[in-house]
Amino acid sequence: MPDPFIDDRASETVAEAGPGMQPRGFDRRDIPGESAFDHTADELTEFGVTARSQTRLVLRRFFRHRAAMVSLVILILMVAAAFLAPHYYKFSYLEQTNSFSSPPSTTHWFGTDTIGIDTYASVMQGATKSIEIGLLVAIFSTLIGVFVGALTGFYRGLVDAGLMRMTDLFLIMPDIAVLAVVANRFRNQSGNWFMIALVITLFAWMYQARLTRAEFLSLRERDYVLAARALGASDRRIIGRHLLPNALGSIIVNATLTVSAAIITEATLSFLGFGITPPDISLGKMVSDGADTASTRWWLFYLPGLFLIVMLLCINFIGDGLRDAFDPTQDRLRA
Amino acid sequence: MTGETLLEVENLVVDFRTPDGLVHAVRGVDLTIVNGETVGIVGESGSGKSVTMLAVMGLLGRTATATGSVKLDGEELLGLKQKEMRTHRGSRLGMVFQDPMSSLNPVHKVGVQIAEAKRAHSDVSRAEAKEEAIRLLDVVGIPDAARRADQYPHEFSGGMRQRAMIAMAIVNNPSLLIADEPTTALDVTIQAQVLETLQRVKQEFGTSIALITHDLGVIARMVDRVIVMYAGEAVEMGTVDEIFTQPRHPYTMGLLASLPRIDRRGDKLTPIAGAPPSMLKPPSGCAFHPRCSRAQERCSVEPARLRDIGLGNHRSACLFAEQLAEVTQ
Repeated sequence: MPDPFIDDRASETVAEAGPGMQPRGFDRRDIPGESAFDHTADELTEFGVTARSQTRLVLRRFFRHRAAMVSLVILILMVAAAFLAPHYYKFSYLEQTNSFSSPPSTTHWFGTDTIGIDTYASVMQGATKSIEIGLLVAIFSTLIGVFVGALTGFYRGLVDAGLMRMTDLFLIMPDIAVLAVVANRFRNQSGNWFMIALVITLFAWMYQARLTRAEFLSLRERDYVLAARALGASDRRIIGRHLLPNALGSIIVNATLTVSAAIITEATLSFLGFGITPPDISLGKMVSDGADTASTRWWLFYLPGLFLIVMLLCINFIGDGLRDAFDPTQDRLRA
Repeated sequence: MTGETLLEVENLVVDFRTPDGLVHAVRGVDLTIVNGETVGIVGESGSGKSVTMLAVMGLLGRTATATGSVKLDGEELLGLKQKEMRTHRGSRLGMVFQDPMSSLNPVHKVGVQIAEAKRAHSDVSRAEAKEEAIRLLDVVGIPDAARRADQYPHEFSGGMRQRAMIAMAIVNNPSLLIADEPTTALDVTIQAQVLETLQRVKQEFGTSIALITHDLGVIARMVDRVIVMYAGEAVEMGTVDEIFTQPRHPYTMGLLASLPRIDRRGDKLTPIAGAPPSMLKPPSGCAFHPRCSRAQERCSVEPARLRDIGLGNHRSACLFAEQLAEVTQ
């Protein structure tokens, strides 16, 4: 990882000079010399100011990333709305009401479907399952991917050749086709969403593996790894204490993006009719069911779809913000 | 203890497999280090000085093969399994590297890294290890050690990082500390401080030091004995006085002549002509003969090994070492 001392300064100039320019007008920090001075006073512990740890530097940069912060707030609200729906909303997604195909109203926020089930309750339940699947896939594929990537990147040679060819094999398989076939086996079992998550994981871990391998290949040549060896550190210790913490940034960013990728894959499967089965609901299934009547009963199609899209956008923006926070050297000018 | 042989390297040969062929990095080096002494190893880049010491540490990597013998306190290290070698590294052998800016892990606190090195070899509690880390940071001259131990490497200056590296290398009280160009990446004033720190470590713990450098100034100031290496071989060996005042090898003489002198104003520096040889195909005979102004015909044929030249422990590989005496008078 590059010297955080320098990183911090780079991000500070961009963060301050970018969006802040017009509204705040002339700022003391806009003078390069001045901002450098500020910075030094911040960091130099000799002057009695506590310097920041790496975690705090990353967090601070993340909190300054506007798109990511807005997305984080929206996502938290959406997740809370989804998981808490049974506690504050008077209809359940299992309950048939007497109003059929009614458009959104103050009683039925997102309207109802042809058999009188409340759409809002269904969307919230669907989002809950999407998030659960997304998180499960992210956790499992990160565990598998980091394990494979760490072994191949660290040991190289035969281990690398063997495991990476296996990874390539999974990468070139047409995942949706294979997923549909495999998912079809669990089609009519209730509570099959957990199996669906495992099946999606089967085709999601390779990206994490490749990324971790690339990070490890570069990190293993650092001097502190040689220094650790000279101190008698074992391979396991070097991987766990020296390489993994330094690769953590990329791993976290990729795990975040895996969440949204998994949600999309699940929605695709459900849209095609191979996803999770009733009584579980999926946003993809709702979009699929609503597609036929999108022109007459638009709320059945657009509202679940919109919810899905906003959720995915938020997750990706957060991933973006995390990437910038962990690696400010790749900083681009952002709007 | 002082005066007993600590490290004995015999006929060490190290080859690296590369796409271009076998690189003969070290070609039969013999050297000994006794308890409590500081030995300087000088030579230009690629002369095999670092590789020799990495071989002692068992840190050569898998493209290298090392043969010969490396004995620490009489125990053969060459050919040990990595797992066995690991118990010696950091406990009996410590090493400090050239670039202090990248030798510390940026994500862990300095004190924690030193404490971990301690705990890797000694059965002590976290708190005891931490205390030891602070004590050593103090020994190597880090002011306000207790507070500094809780800081991250990026909050340390280059000189302080190198001193922290020294603290880490000596935390288990090794009998031999290998310092691989410890001052090359530092500016001159900081160099002096780091060298002082090494001196203090030696006095306080009686650690033997193998100092790899190409800086003859550092050698003159720090070491008891000098080993001059060229093209993977030791070409001259002797005390600092012997090497500096009566060199018996043209390469050493060239090195000394190429130094700027404060008492000779305005003169151009005298470089050694030519470039270091490719170690894919080292020159025959005496490896230095293509660059040597005194080379004779037999220099390109007869192998030149370090030998007794009738001056006690002062040894040279030059075939004409005895005749060089009048030149240096």
